[in-house]
Amino acid sequence: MNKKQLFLIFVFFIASTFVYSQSGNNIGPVVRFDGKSGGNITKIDMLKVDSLTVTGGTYSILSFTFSVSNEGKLKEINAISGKFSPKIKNLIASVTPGSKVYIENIKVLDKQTKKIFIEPSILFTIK
Amino acid sequence: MKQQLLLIFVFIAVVANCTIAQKQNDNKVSGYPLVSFDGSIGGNIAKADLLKVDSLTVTGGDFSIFSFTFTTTAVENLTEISSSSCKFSPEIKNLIASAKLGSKVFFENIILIHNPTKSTMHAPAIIFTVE
Repeated sequence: MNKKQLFLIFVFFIASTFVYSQSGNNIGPVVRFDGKSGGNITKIDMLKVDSLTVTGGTYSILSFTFSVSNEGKLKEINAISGKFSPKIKNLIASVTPGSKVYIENIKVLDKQTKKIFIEPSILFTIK
Repeated sequence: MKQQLLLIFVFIAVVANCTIAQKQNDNKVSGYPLVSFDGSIGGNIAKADLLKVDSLTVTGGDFSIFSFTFTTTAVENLTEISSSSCKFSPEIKNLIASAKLGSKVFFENIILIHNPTKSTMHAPAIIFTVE
């Protein structure tokens, strides 16, 4: 076995292991609100955000339900994209400290396989 | 001698790469908990299906459910019940039984315990609409 053959084998193994290590990098959709999956947030910070984001592959957000609990009542708005409509923005503007904001029933489309996923809900408490 | 050294170098490089690749994939698969309601994490659900289930379940890693808050719009105002295990108390079951079409059911503030270390973490809320 000469040096050239050895070098080729070396390159082949490196390339194959690199491909193997990358093959699992499509970890599935991860939906976030300004990088967050929930927790405490101010109304001002909520109002700064115009849409949900999805990472982890070639995905797009099909729809979600935006709900706010305020003084024992629940108000909800359905969205048909990842964007926050003026109605949702108005609902955010109406929240008071202690209100809970639920972003749920988040449906994500895998553009390659055309499969639809329901993603974990995002829950914020207004501080 | 040079050829032997090259062989050893190739061997070490391949083993190291395979180990790193395996470790990366192991990290993706194991150790991350997923809390579900009978395998579901939200969406629309029939009341009969809600009533069939007696507890939340956690998969992926050595975790237990420490507590959660059950909230529902089944009755006129939002009603909250805290639970200190994965199980649904008779009170929770009764509220589910009174749910109507379009009622919302929230399992939120789900706290998990990592059994080996006893550290805690929050899991995403599970939210259903009764259909």
